[in-house]
Amino acid sequence: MAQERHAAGAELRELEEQTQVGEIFLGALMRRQLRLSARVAATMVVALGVQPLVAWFWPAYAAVHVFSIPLPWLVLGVGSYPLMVALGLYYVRHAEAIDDEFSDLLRGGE
Amino acid sequence: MTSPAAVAGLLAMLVATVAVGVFARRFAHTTSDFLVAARAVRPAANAAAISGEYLSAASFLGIAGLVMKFGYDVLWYPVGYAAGYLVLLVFIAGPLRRFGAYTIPDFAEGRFSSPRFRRLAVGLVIVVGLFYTLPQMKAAGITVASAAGVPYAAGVVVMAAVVVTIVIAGGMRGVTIVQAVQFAVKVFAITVPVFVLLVHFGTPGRIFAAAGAREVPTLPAPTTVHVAPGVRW
Repeated sequence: MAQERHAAGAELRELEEQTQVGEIFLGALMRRQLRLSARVAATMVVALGVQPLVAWFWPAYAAVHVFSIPLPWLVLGVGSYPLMVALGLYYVRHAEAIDDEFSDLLRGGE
Repeated sequence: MTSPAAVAGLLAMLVATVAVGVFARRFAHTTSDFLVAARAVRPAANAAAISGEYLSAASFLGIAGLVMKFGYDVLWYPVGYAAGYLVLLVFIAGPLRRFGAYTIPDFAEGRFSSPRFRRLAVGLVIVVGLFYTLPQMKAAGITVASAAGVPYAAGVVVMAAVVVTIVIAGGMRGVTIVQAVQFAVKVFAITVPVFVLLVHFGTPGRIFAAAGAREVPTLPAPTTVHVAPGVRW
């Protein structure tokens, strides 16, 4: 799978050097990948950044206890990690899907 | 603080670490073996190695102490470290892999077709590495000195010798396997206090209640952490 992708990259680099169309394709691919990265990072920033805001606008948040453990501790100290793992998986799957789609497009165009 | 058990444990760990690192050498024959572990490290072992790095003295002891002193606010540090890995994945590791580069200097040279840029990147990596290694070696020296009762400088020299031996003898694969093994050891070590506390207090809720009820521990040896009663939530 990885080698396949690698081969597509080499093909692409040739294409890019030769044609303007390749340059446009490459630009589109890079923008899609960057948008995906930005989306994942923004989701994390919002998920973490909203917590102090909740505590600020709703002070009772700090007093909520679940199994006699303060809720903010559980949300931040326990909840953050599954979220990050999920975001990481989402990113890897989608980044590979974008690459695969692209190499299919490239092969189809030949 | 010095006890025969601590010295024996330290020695056993050092010997096992060097043995594991040097054992991995058998498989390192080419430059590729040395630098990228011949791609013979499976994702699970690699993940364990990176997690072993995450569980450094800073997160293992430092964060525990800071949470004890400052409470909830410091809980943001470990979350921030982990978030850093995600940022690394989406903005550095992913693009680097798609580009076909293994390291930042590889990328710098490949992207800008400039060996000078590569050397600049190497210089930056060394500067960052130096400032990362400084506190690590300081902590290693203090730990060995306090556990084994040897001078601080001897602790630093011993730890540096172990690290250099593993890197030279084992290459990337040796380092990765050592980190993966140490991850298991550290996870075990970090779990023991949880079980002890649960046996002592019964439920996680009672541990929090006790921390809030000013039942703070007293520290027998001098430390930079001064524990005041009343952990802030």
